[in-house]
Amino acid sequence: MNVALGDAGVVAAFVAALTAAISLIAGHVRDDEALRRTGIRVAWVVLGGAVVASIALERALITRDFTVRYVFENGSHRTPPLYNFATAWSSLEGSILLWGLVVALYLSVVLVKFRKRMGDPLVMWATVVILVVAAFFFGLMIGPADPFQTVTIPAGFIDGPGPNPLLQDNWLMAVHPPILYLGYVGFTVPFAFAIAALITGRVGEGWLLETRRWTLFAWGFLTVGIILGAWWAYDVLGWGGYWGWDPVENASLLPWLTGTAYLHSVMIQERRGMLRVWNLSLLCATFSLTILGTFITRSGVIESVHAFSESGIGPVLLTFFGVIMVVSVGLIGWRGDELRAPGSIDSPLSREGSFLANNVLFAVFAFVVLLGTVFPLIVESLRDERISVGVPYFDRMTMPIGMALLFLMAVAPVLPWRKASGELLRTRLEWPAWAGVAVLVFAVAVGARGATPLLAFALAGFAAGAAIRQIALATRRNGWRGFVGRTNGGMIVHLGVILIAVALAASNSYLRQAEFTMVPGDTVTFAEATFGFDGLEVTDQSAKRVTAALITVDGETMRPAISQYASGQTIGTPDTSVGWTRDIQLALIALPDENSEGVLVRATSQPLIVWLWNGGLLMAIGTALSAFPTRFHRRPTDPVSAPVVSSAAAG
Amino acid sequence: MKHRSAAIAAAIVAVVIGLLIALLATSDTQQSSTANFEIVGKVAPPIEATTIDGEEFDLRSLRGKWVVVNFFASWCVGCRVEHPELVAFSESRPQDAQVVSVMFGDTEQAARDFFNELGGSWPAVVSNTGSIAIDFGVTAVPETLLVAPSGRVVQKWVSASGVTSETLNAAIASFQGDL
Amino acid sequence: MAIIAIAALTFGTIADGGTRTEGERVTALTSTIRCPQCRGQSVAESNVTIAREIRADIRTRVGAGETDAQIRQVYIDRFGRSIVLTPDGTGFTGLVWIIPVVAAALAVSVVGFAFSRWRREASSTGEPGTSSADRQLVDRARSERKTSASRRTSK
Repeated sequence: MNVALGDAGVVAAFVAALTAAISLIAGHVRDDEALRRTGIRVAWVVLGGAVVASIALERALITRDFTVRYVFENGSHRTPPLYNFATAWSSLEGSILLWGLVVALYLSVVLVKFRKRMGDPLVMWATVVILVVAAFFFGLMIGPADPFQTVTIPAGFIDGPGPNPLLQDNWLMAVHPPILYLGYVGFTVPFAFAIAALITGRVGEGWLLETRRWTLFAWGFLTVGIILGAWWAYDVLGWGGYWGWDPVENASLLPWLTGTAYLHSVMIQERRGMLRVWNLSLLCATFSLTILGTFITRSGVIESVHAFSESGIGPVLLTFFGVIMVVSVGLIGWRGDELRAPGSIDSPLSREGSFLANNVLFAVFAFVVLLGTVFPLIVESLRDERISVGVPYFDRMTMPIGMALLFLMAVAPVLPWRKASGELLRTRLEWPAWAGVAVLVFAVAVGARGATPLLAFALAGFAAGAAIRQIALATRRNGWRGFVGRTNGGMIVHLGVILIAVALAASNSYLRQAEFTMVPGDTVTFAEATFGFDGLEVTDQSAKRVTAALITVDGETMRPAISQYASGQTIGTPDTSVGWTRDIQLALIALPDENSEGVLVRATSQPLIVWLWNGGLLMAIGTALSAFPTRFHRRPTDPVSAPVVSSAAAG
Repeated sequence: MKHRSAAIAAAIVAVVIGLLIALLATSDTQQSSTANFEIVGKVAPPIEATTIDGEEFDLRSLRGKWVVVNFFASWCVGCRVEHPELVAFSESRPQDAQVVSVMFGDTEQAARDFFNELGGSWPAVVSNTGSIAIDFGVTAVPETLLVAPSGRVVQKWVSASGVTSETLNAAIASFQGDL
Repeated sequence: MAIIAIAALTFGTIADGGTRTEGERVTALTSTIRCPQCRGQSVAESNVTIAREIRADIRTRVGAGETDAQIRQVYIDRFGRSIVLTPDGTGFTGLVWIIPVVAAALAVSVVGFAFSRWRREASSTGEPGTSSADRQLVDRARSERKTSASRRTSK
């Protein structure tokens, strides 16, 4: 029943996506309105099929229908309801189904939003591109990544293994993938419009306006998804780390970097009509990087903790990536030079100039991340040597870029369009600079040391000063509306980024870690805190047996634990004591055995970690605020001098 | 010239991306199993430690014999599979070969139970095992190394299902000439 | 202002103390050694047996007074070059450090070149920064705006 339902859904979605794409194109070529209408109607079936298939998978999981291979391999009676629900995307096939569902959702929103303009070739082609992407993913589910394969239950089978223990230990894992996917997949829409613009040759600013919010939406979810992933790693892995420059993490960062570059450089296009081809390229790069990321996660070519088990899906995804690249690079190469806009940027010292600098930095950042990720493969294939490129490399290479970005975040918001004078800069930057100095002096006063973190704090203060100055000016003029709109919302996003930068610098530079072997009654002092070990506590839960060490840290009891799952796997469940200024995390590494009577505990102390997550929250809020429509709707093609009260012109 | 730059840039990007795809397409997906074989060809690091029977053991005392150094743990499925093979091997060559087991990531009691259950009367080292494993470049159990009578490591096996008596004998035969 | 900033930065850097504690050295070292059994994790991050053993071994070696470079070499000798997460700065591997710097320089020079071309174009049209195409764009936008504005008011 579940299998039949699921297969029907997948096949229906696949066939519908193809049919709709073909009839839309045919309707366009033959100028046949009826055919076009049919195409749009059929396109709705994609969502229907995706929803049916997803429900079938959830139903199979909830009813523990072990005849479905996916449930047989990932389900278990013991898994608690929330994690059982999330099991639907904990493994390869299910995660592809989630991709399909999300792309179908976006498709439907596009169909609703543009229902009156389906006759417009631009919208038509964009829809076709989305349909092709959807068809690809549903095709995967028919072929190498079928979530509804059946299995004959062997005799004596009682229960499945359940999802990977690491994925059922923290609620973040239930929400991180869908949110990340909303971001990842969301870039399909602006990408589709970019391709449509290239095909139709209408690279005017119209399609940009259409997709601005879509891009912002996708970018916001990608940001939140990445931060949630980091938070999950921090809470679950127990070594005080949140970002390991793992290939899969890099794969999610890459589209974020190019997407961020796009969000900035698109403003030059809206304002000045320039950089059209560059912006199109950034959108194409962003989308193709999400596909490359999916490939890296799913193929097992690059070693990663996150990699799913190997499957035949790798070559297919790589081929799709190749097709996307051929189409986008080909279209850009073919059309690019016709689409070049006239105009020039007068001075590097201007808003445009700073956006260009921003783009250079983000492009180099993305390049470093990509190079570091694939470099071991390059060395191996050319020199037959094995090397690793890991955290130290990425940290060292991206740190200067991060500093430069912080500096840019301080200077750029006060720069006017066209050209700035030195005098103007001096007056506008005066108090942000004082803010930077104040932060620096404060940091030194409370005991922060080391050139790198101090420079980061100072630049962060400087940048925060510039962002707050902008918001203060805008709110003084427009009241609460000073918080909304792209410029002001953008400044709030900046503040979030600055918080994150400070938290990164502080937690990386002042991390302290130690391992202790303790027997009950022992007390140790570490990082100005006292740790007393009171004994072990064993609790049995449905899916696992949890052995926790009760450790009193400055009066508060913490319970780092080791969980043993029924499948035999053991994982550590660290406990974190969260504070505004610092976190203490305890991880139970080893239980007493005959070699050692004590427990082995690792303590990690890191300052300001909590601001990473708060910074992420602020970024999300800022993104929402910048999507909020401003009352004075400024048309991007308006001349700068147009008589519109716009916060963007302020500063 | 001025209006060709997008096409030129696209061509360059296409070439780079093409190379990237070729690289990813040709890359081997099985990476981890052949990674660390630095030790092969080098003189075997010393093993000086106590065995399950409480005796002192020194690897150097076995110069002149073929030594099979096996890293194991009682919880490791592959080790259980290969242990009878080691017993068979050890019985087939009582004179010129010697098996040595090194416990890795396990407790002494569990190791003793493991030997009681599955047999094997050769020395099983239980102390100082972490640094021995690191010296031998071991990453996980089961791993097995063959040390020639000269004291040089000639081969290393990393496989989830372990080695067989046949593989070991074949390896000894193939290295017989160059000792 | 600049003086305060420089003074604070210098003080903060010099007063750093310089010497690191053994614990800090262990933490730093373990995060540069790859866990040989894992996929893409350092031994600091992993809890598998070998990672635990390597952490313990590094702690012993640091305690015994070996330098960071010596300890790293020990691991390279046993597990191969790929045990170290920091690629070599020399030879072919060194390219991973050099290429990004070259790429950055290239990107900056492309932008620099664009600016110089824009400046040349601007000076040749006489009016700084405004080409006739620019003006056309503005005119078109203005007329569009007028029509859309009148449409809005007529509603």
